[in-house]
Amino acid sequence: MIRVKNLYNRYQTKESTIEVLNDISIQCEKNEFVSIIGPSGCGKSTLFKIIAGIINDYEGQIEVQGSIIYMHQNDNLMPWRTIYRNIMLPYEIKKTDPDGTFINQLIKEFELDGFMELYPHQLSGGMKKRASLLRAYLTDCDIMLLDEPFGSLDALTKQNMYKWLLDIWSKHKKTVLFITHDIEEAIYLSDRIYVMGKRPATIVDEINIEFKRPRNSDMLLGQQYLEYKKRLMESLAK
Amino acid sequence: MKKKSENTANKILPVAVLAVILVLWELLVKLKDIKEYILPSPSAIAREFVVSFNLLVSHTAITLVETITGFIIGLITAVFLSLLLDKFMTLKMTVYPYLIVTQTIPLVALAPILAIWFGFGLLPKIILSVLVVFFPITLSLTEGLSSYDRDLYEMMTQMGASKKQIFLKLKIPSASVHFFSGLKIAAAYCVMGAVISEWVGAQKGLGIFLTRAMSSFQTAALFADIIIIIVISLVLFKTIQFIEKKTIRWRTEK
Repeated sequence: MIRVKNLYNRYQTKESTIEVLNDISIQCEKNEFVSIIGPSGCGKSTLFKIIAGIINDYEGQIEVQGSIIYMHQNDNLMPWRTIYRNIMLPYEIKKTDPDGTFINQLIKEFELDGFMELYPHQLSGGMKKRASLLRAYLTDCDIMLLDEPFGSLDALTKQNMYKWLLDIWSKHKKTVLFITHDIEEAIYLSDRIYVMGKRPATIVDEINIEFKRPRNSDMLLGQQYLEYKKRLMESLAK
Repeated sequence: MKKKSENTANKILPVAVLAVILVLWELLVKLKDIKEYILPSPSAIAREFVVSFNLLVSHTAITLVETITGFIIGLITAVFLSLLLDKFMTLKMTVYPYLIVTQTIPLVALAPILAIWFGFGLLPKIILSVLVVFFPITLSLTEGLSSYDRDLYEMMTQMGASKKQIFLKLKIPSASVHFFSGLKIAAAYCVMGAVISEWVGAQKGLGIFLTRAMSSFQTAALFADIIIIIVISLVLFKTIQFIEKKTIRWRTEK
């Protein structure tokens, strides 16, 4: 569970003070999938870094129940390690022994079996994303902050990743806070969407997505979808 | 298949060019009747290798000892200093500018000073080799240790990694590419440090052999000496490159 209340963040340059976040209040309940959508450069990543504890310079209240892993826009895999050694990093750091069958099961679910001995540069974009997500998953956290994880993928790969991500998410319930600038992606994946405005960023809208789960891509063709999309576009244009 | 034939072509081509140059060189010397002390023919140089074989081997041995000792000591000092500089930021800021200053002193000027202080034995040669090796390695390793990915650093911190873990699992692997490029430069120049130092004065070594050959107009011996220096440098360079390929496998498979 994440609760952010009246959050402000600004940074000082030589000439002036720049407001990055202006009175942000958001919530994300346990096992909820919440997206934050906004124009690029609006301060979404700053918000995530504050929640993850990477940036400590802010005003306001933040309450987090559970451990957090923050996943960057890029895959952040270590190029000198094989995929297997990359995903085992959390265990190495905690110096705990992994459960072999559990790991193997997950490798299958993340569609990475057979690629464990390869290096990141030998994998496609989608595979690298899945490896990176698996590593984040294996850190044994309760909350995952995903910062535009599919930003660099092509449309077709993205579609597959959505299906796959929702599948994984429904099996292993986790709280997910998701950053994106892709309207379709946000509607397809989320329980709830916050819309962030331009700098200084505030929350300009909050939308509940009522689509049933499990979801499928047909939902993206109906009237309901268009209404969500229209509202999101209007809010983003504000 | 095509790629393979291209690869062999890449290897054969430089050798072929060398062969052509050698033949032209030989012909030029023979036809124009150029005196051997001005430009010895390739065959004359080859003869020199046979005739002065024992002499060349004994001089080479000394230079090799100096070079390799210098390389190893330089390497150890450089690694040690880089780790210190990485650990203590203030030290880095204090020492770094002077490190660069030491490199602006010409080796030819440094060699006589070392000879005055330490005589004409092995020590001043090794010191000069160390100085030549030391700088590129220190520079590349220090840069390398601070060139790690900040996002990876944040991620590891979030996973609860200790400073030691970040150092071993992130900083060291990130630095390895830089480290090896410094190491290769050091390997290529290391012999030169020893030779220049010998030049100033020594009992034995390729450097002193070079000055002797020059003053007695044995130009063929001079060329033979140069070839040996080139070969030693290349072998050192290739050895490092080989170790690099074995160590940084993830990069060579690209």
